[in-house]
Amino acid sequence: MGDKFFETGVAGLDTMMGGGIRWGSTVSIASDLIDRVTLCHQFVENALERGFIVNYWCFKEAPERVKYLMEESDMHVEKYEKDRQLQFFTPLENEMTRTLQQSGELLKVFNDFTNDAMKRVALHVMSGKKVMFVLNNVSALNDLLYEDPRWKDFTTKGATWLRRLVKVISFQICDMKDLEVAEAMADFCIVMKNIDGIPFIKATKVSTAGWVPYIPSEKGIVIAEDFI
Amino acid sequence: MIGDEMMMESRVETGVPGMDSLIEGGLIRNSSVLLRGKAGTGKTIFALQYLLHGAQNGEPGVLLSIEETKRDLYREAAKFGWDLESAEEAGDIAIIERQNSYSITIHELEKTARSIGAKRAVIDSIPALFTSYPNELQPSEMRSAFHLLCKILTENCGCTTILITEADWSKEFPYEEYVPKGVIELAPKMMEGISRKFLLITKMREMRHSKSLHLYEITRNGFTIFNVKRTTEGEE
Repeated sequence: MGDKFFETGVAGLDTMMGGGIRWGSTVSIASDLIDRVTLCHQFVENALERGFIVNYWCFKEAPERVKYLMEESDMHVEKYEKDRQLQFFTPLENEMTRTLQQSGELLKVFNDFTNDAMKRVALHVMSGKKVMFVLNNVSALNDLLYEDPRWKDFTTKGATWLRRLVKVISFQICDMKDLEVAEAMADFCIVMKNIDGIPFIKATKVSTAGWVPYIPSEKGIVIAEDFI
Repeated sequence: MIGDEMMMESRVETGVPGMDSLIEGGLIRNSSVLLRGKAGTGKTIFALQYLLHGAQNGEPGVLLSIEETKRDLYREAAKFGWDLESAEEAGDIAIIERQNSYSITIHELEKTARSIGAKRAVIDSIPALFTSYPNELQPSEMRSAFHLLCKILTENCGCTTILITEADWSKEFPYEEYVPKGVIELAPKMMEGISRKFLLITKMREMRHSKSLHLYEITRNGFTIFNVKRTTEGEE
């Protein structure tokens, strides 16, 4: 199981997904709840503990804020950063962002950054490492670039490229309003939603369990396994 | 603190995980509560848990089962690892099956409740009981018979009572919900093609009860209400 699947470490979620997430998958975490970041960080922590490399791309919250949230969950961010296992990137955090966006050059800048990043990832993969990508969040990136006619084509190509790398797994956090776009780009989606005051989670395409309740706790998301 | 202790003495824990926190710690002692739901919603399992919790805590209970035999109930309970037969042999639970007439059934129920010193009672179910004896119990007499049954169990025998009923029956017999202190509704709801079960307390006199919908499931531990505040260490 371990070779083919990334076991998320979130009890119940792996059961829902038939053992974990297949390496090479692109997964969208779609939600408007803060729990989406908590869940994603549970995946990150599990990956780091097992020696994988995590590339964390920030498009909405600053890395400092993300690190703060991770430390609140008792993650040893400093250690992992020092070991270069956990790396933060802010591809579009630039005072020129607005100007570039207006001139239609933003996608080119992002494309250049992505190409460099992909080369680094390919090197990691060739040296036998497993890599996790986190895009937090895709909706913010989409808001910046959706007007560019080349954007849709770019995302399709990017997702296809990632799928070819069997030792890479990528998570894209997105808002519920972008669920349709996310579903088209990703292999499957993990959706988190509050229904009638109860927090529910479901995995599209890879699970038949439907909406399963979960408990947001200090230590992260706990799936109510009895309800699967 | 003394007030809290007094309140807890006047309450009867259901023993159903997640339930008691919705009703300030338990049912009001010597009261009756209507448990209403369609077939397959877990009414009998809820009731068995209630009786077994009492049996384990020095509160014997009596169950009047009209449609299911003792053997059926033993088998149902065994699916969750509950030894109902031993509880009955020990005198902690008494199961009464349908008798030849309504009056004999009620007489047997009262006699048994008194003989084991029952503190808890369950009728499974009111529609089955009231429609089993058409020659003896006319529809026009059902309201007073229902009132008397509640009085016998709660006041005469001192039992905190769960009265199981069915959603459709309540349309024909609407006054059944006026006598009991509380009404608990069990209803399935489709969520994108998957059926989920929800509990709603529509009435519970003399207490502040939850007014929200609560998700529940029949798990390997029996009737379990999902509690979003539950910690990983244990329930509530």
